[in-house]
Amino acid sequence: MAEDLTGRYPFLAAARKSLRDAGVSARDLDEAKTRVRAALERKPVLPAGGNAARDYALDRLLVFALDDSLALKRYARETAKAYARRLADEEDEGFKAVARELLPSLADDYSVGVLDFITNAGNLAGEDVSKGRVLLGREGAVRLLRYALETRLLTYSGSRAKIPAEVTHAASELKPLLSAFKPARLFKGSLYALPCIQRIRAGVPEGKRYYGAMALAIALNADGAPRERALAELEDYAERCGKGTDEFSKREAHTTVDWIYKHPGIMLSCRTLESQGLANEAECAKCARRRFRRT
Amino acid sequence: MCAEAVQTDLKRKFAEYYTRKQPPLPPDYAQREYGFGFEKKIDYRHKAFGSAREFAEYFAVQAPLYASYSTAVYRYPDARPMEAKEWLGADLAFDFDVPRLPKEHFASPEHNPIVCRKCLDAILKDARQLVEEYLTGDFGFSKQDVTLVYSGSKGYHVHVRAQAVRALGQEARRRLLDYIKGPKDLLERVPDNRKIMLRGPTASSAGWNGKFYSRALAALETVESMRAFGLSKAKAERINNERERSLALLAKGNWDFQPGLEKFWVAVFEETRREHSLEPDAQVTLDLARLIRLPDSLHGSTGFLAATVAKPNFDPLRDAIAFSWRRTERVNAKEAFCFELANETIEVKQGENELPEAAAVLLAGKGKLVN
Repeated sequence: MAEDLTGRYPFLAAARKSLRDAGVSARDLDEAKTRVRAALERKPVLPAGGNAARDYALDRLLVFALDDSLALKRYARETAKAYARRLADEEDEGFKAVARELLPSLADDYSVGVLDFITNAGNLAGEDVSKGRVLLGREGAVRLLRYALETRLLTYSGSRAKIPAEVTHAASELKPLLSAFKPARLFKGSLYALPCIQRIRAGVPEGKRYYGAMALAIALNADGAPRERALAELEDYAERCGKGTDEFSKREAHTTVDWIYKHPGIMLSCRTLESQGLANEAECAKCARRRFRRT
Repeated sequence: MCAEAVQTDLKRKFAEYYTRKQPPLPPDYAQREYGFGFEKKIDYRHKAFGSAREFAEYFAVQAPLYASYSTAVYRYPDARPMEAKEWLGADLAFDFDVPRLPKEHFASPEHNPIVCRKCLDAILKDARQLVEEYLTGDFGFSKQDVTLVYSGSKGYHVHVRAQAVRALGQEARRRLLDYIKGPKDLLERVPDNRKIMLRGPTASSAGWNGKFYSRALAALETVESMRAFGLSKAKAERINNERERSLALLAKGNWDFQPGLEKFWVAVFEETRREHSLEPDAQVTLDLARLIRLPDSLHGSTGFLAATVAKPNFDPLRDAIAFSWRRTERVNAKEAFCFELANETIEVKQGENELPEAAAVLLAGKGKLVN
């Protein structure tokens, strides 16, 4: 792959080669902070030049070190949009070389396989779908690439514990910035008081117990309940749940609370509750949180 | 015979059957989790089989009333808790168990609470539509990768066992369900010089766009067909008189070639949805660790086989019968019943009856026998 392409699109696998001997100075870290801050303020500046791959990796590490799902989502969306704009101006050959890494099924007529499409974007029903292909056209392919890159930017497989201390420190300096772009109209009421959460609290049958426990812990954490109270509530919940073939143990309840309290950025997803059969339409229609719903 | 004795008898019947014949091994059988029911549908799960012999012996010895297997494959299928199994992927599964019939049907004598042919036919129609229109049609899966299976009771399951679907996450699976359910609207209202233009699918559109376009062409065929969707006689006649021009504009995606067509298109779109929209049980498709009826195992509530639907004229009340039709059993029925089985009408009177074994097992499974 041409070197100028990997410089312009440092998310490509070929760009990783240049990461091997890349060192990071305090100045590099400062520049990364500036870029991440710009992305969070919706004015993304893409890494450029010979160190683009290193800078891209550093930016992502910094965002993950923030441990804030809203910040991660905004960074991913803004960065993906900026790369998509750049891609839209590429010549055909370069465009397809980059695109095929993210969308392996992309054909010369700009169609992609149905599975490639749904892995990256929704609203398949609005597209022209035929015999396993989604006929996108170049404009549609750019849009899908943007979503594909956004999905990639949202994914981090490493362990937070292994993030270098300098990066974690740099992230802590960015933290005060986060409150400035959080949506002002987020639901302010008690999540724990929501009817679906109260119903879960009364116990759920086997198959729903794990998600039920997650939902309870998220709600308690979001409401500011101390960890001890959450542990006690979840223990009671475990008692009330259907026993099925195996009981939902206190240990599982504790693990859930520990996980959620260590990741305060995890939000309660109405969609997950619905898909797990933990909320129903009639209840949701009357829910106070409904008009704030984003998931 | 007391209720417990009926249950014991059912178990004995199942044991006899499974001694003669066991279900075929599912693909990648050693990586699947199995669940079995001896009283309810799943009493016992996290079971795995390391060999075909172990699998066959389990059925012959334990004779479960219900047998399920995971749509997922795992590195350690018998490990627990679930995370310890190490999920490797999951087949795509769909479940239809609610017939799309008018509410009145269920209150009418036409609906048979023992086995209702009309309900079974309606569900099979939906499942076949899913396979033909969506899975092997729009989504392009090969026929070899798609299996349609009768659940052994009231519904049908569809399994897609292509390698490519295994890694799909819940969100991607939800997107397939959203497609099958259909869009809410396909017309764009584009502002243009203080007017709103209706833009939509074109002659080359495919998928739902294509379905809507084809339905629109059919609706525009005659004045009567247009009027059936609520268009006034005057408007319908005007379109009919300018047929060529109207169709040429529609082919280019111009859906307001005459003013005041929006309500008409909404009605046509609703009809398109009625014809094409399907609603399988979302939880089955979205659950990445689902246990689902093992194909060609027996169903404890009917004694029917969860038979693979291979032929076009598959009839569960004939082709899924596992027990003998010639051998008879003396049974004591709680009340009088009449139902269809193996192309015959079975009339059961309250009290003692002599019934074909298959019918006796069905009534035992349904809990309709006493003594």
